[in-house]
Amino acid sequence: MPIAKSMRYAHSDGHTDVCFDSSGRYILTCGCDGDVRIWKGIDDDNAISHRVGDKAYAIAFKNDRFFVATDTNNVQAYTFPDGAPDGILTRFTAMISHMVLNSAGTKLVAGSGDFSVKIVEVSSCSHKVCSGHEAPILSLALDPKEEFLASSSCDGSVRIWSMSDQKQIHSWSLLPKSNDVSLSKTLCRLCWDSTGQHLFIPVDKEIHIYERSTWKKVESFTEESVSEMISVLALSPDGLCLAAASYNGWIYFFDVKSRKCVDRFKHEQGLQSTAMAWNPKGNKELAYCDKEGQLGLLEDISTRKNSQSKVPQGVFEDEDDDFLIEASNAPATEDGDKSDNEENASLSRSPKTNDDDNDSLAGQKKLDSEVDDDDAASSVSERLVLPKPEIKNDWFPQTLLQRAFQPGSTPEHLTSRFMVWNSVGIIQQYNSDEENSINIEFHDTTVHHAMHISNIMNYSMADLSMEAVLLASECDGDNPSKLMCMHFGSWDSNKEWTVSMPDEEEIQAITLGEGWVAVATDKRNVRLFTISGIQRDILSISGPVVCMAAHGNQLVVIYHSGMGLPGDQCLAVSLLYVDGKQRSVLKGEPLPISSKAKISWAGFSSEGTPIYMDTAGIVRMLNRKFGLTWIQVANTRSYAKGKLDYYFIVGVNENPQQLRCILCKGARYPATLPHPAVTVLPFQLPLCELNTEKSQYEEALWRGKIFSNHFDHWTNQGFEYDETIKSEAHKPVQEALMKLFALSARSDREFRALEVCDMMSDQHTLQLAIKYASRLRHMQLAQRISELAVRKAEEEMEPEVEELEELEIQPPQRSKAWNKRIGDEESVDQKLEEGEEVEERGDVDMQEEEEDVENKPAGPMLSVKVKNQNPLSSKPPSSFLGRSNPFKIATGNPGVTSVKGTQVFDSMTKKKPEKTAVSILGGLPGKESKQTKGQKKVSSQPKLFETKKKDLENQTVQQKDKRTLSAFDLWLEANVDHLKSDKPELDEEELTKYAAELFRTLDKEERQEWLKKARAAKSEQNEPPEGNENKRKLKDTEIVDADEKETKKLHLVSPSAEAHNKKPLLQNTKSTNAKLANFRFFKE
Amino acid sequence: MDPAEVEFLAEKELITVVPKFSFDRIYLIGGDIGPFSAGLPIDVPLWLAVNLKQRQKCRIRPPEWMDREKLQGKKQEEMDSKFFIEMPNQHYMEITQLLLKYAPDDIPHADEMRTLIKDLWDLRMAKLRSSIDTFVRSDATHAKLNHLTLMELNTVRLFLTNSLDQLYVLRSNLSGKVQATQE
Repeated sequence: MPIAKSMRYAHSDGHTDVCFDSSGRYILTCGCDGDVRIWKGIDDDNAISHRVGDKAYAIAFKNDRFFVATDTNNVQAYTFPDGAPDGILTRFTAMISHMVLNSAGTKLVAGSGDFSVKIVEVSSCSHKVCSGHEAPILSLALDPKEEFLASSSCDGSVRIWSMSDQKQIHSWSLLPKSNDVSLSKTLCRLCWDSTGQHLFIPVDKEIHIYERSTWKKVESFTEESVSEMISVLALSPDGLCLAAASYNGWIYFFDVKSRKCVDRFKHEQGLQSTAMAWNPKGNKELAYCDKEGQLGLLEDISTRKNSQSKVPQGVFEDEDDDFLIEASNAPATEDGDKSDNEENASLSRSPKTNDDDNDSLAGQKKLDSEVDDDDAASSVSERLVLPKPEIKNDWFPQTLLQRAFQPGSTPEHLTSRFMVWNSVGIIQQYNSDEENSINIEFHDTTVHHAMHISNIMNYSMADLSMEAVLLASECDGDNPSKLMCMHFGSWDSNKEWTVSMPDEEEIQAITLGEGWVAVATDKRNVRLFTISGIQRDILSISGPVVCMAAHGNQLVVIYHSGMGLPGDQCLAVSLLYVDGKQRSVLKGEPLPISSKAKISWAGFSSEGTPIYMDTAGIVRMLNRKFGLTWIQVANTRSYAKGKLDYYFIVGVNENPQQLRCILCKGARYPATLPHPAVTVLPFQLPLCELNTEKSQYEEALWRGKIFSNHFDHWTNQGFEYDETIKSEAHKPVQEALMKLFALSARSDREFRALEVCDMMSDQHTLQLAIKYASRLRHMQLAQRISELAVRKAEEEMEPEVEELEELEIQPPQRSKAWNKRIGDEESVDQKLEEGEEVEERGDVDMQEEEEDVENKPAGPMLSVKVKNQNPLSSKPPSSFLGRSNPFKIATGNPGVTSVKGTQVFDSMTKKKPEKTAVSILGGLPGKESKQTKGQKKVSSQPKLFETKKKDLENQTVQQKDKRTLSAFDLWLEANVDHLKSDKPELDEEELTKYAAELFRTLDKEERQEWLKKARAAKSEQNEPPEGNENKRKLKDTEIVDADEKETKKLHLVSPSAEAHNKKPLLQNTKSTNAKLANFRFFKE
Repeated sequence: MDPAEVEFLAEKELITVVPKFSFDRIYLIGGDIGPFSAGLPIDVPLWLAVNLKQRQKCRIRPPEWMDREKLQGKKQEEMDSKFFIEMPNQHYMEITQLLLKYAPDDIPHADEMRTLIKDLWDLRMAKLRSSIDTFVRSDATHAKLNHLTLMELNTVRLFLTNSLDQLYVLRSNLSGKVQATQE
């Protein structure tokens, strides 16, 4: 590393040239202010100035005279040091860009903007012209043997001229073309080696070497970190070191023999050097000027003198020697100001020595970034030319590991910062000269009042929960790392406890769970304490901790687990249950993280699902339903308006779905003042084509599903919760499903629609889907959905039965298991009742089950066909048909049965109604109790049937079997004979239809009466289950009697109660119908 | 209508507060509010905000327009314009008054805010008075003023209508006399 004297002002802005006098004591500069300054060393404050013109472009010194090229297009000689004019050597018609003298000082070569190069005899002022360039001359180089002249020009060519006859000998086109010297990025200062055997030409980021007389390119070399075009070359007087200045202010020093970069230096302002000159005395000094007219001097440039003795035999052989030399050289050169230049030193060494000490990390990084900028092609070609045997670091750059942090905190260096901001409160730390304190504030003032404590212990980490404040400090000199817990939830008077970590173990992350405390240390321990300070478990993690978060009995630890892909961190996450049943759920699984991002927040939703955000703004959540995978649930950056705006998470809610953030304008962290405002962001799954309606519904569907996963988790954990919340949370899912179905059906995507139906969980929505499909005249779809509905209903049945059988074997367990789930009791009752009934009719079912399975499809299929034929013949297809559908599956059977009379269908009808009946029985009381609670939840099954009662009484009839005779049934029974006589030509099925239409024409009162009768009948049946058989028999003979009975019973049933039952359901139906109707409107 | 009534109307305006408590939804005649969750901003009517603030149950977030730059801009606009410009809020005066009275600690640069609003008010009142003056002098039968807020109207309504009545009586008397003399 050269010792750089600080730059000093020499001339005004613009092209500046520099040279040494032959003794090496003086530096001569010329610049755009038109002065030549003679400096007695770089520290000379009284430089002698000579006015030479308005501008001076080039300067050269020889034999006590200096030659200056000025804006008068002359080359003028001046005496040194007086600066007296000593004659004009030559004139050009344009600005002179460069000139050189031969070693003897007898010949001067100058190139000009008029495309010509002149060779001037200094003594006689006679000149010869080399013409051939097609653009202004950039630079010239005189062969030490004075045989050839090399010139570079703005036309992109480098040419070799013969000195004797001014003939062009060779030409290469190597450079970028430009119009003028001032516009050219490179000055392309050429350079011959000391023997004249090779010509060095700076081409882009490399230096090409051409051989004399053959003019063939021998090789090219460069340094990896050269990121900009090399512009100026200068060979040291001993011919061993080549200085190369790049456009971005770097000066590299290459060993001429080994073509290795031995040293380098960066201009303090990164300005391009316009000229460089070695001190002719060979004391390794280099003077240089930048384009802003400043003069600088580099001393003590390591030119590797030791290698002089070696005669390199090739490019590769001397590799090892270089190592040694460098190793021995490096300390020597660094002696001067090692501390200052340490970083740069490691910078220049690291690519070669692959050193593994940590100090070079920073330098290494810097280097990497420079290498990144480098043109890939050039570095590749460079490698081809000069393969390096040593292992390089840069193919696998080391990623800077993220330090441990507290989620919800802002950086420690701030004088006023948030130690934590979570859903409970805010802890602020003031760390200025006059104040060192901690302020604890609770969102909910009922939890605890605000606290202000002085921070004597230098706590830097904090966490806050509903029952305690946790503070921790790092090691501080002799003081060990300390943990302090303020357990304000405690009922005794001693609310604080403190614990010190063992010596040299430092706390890196802390978190507060419910009734416990977790502390992660740099010894890779996670220590657990109870909230009152009892030390509990200690567990080890396999890498440095990044952060921890806790919720209830869950603990999430995120830590480094190895080396990631270039630029990426490799993080692992552990999810542990530390209380109750201790177990680990995620055992150090890799944590997905956006490319090159860091974790910026980690925590739990208030429902207890782990969530984290990375610096790319992606929020990911644990999906417990999909094998504990992580799913992106939001991209906070997409909500930020500005490019530099970030969101800072302070809390997450799953129900309602809220991502509570603070918008930080132009920063990653919020400032403490003014008090930041919390905003709520929505979640959004990153589905494709989110601007389409379909994707929006799909997104709503899956988001709803993912954000209701926590209910199952709660159930697993044995938490009690209100079922209504769950059903409420499930609503959007149902809604999205219905919308998605409607959309698919409308766009004639029937298969897709069916798939949507497959996702529908309850029968009610399926029935609605069938209705809707048939209303849209997608008959095939309706049919398939009804098949699906039947299948689903059966699937639902079977496990229930099994379950119940199991339960009956172990009655005590049953009650225990069920009681755990509050709000599920109705369904329990329901199922139990069902179970009893199943048992009662078990004999029949068991016998027929096998047959049943085989014939299952037959039943519904047939019935559906019946259903589908009807609309074709019926006059009012739309409304009637739409309504008729859902019930046909079950209800077509009576008709079919009568035709076929097979046992199969008997069993079908038995099985089916059994379920519906039961659910009605179970559903009604349940519903009533709920309504008293003011809650909306209604079991889906009863809703289904109530719906029909309301607007399709006529059809409802058929749905009910003998046991649950409906109004229509009763009416039909009463009038069947009458009807038969009226329409003898109709078969039974058609008759039913005809009857249905008749029934519909009945006025309301009359229908209502039948309805009441039906209810009465039903309630009667509930008591004696066998009654239905009797009823069947009675049917034909004793209708009148039965009717009378029923009318009597009618009075027993309170009509007001009935009305009460019905009301909300009617509303429900209306709303759902309205919804479906809306879709139709959309289409039209 | 007296200013208290206007203020009462203004209290229906929604304002964002950060509650320091958690509470279920509350059902009010004007609509449901809530649920409140501590630390999460929520829009509530001004009267409730003030009430909660008085009980130290919330922190009020100043309305968006209550911002130095915005108000300065408005003031400039008001000064430059010949007519009344639209105010950021129909009840800007009342809201500012209430907030500055009960929650000055929640409003950054409260004093400046007070001055700015007062300046705006004074500008507009001056404008209003001068336009009434022109109106009365011009003997016009009607005039139209846009973007006046309720409170501003209220300051002149009683006096203006009464005095116009009085003027009318005087004029009709005058013209009656004229007629009488003509006859």
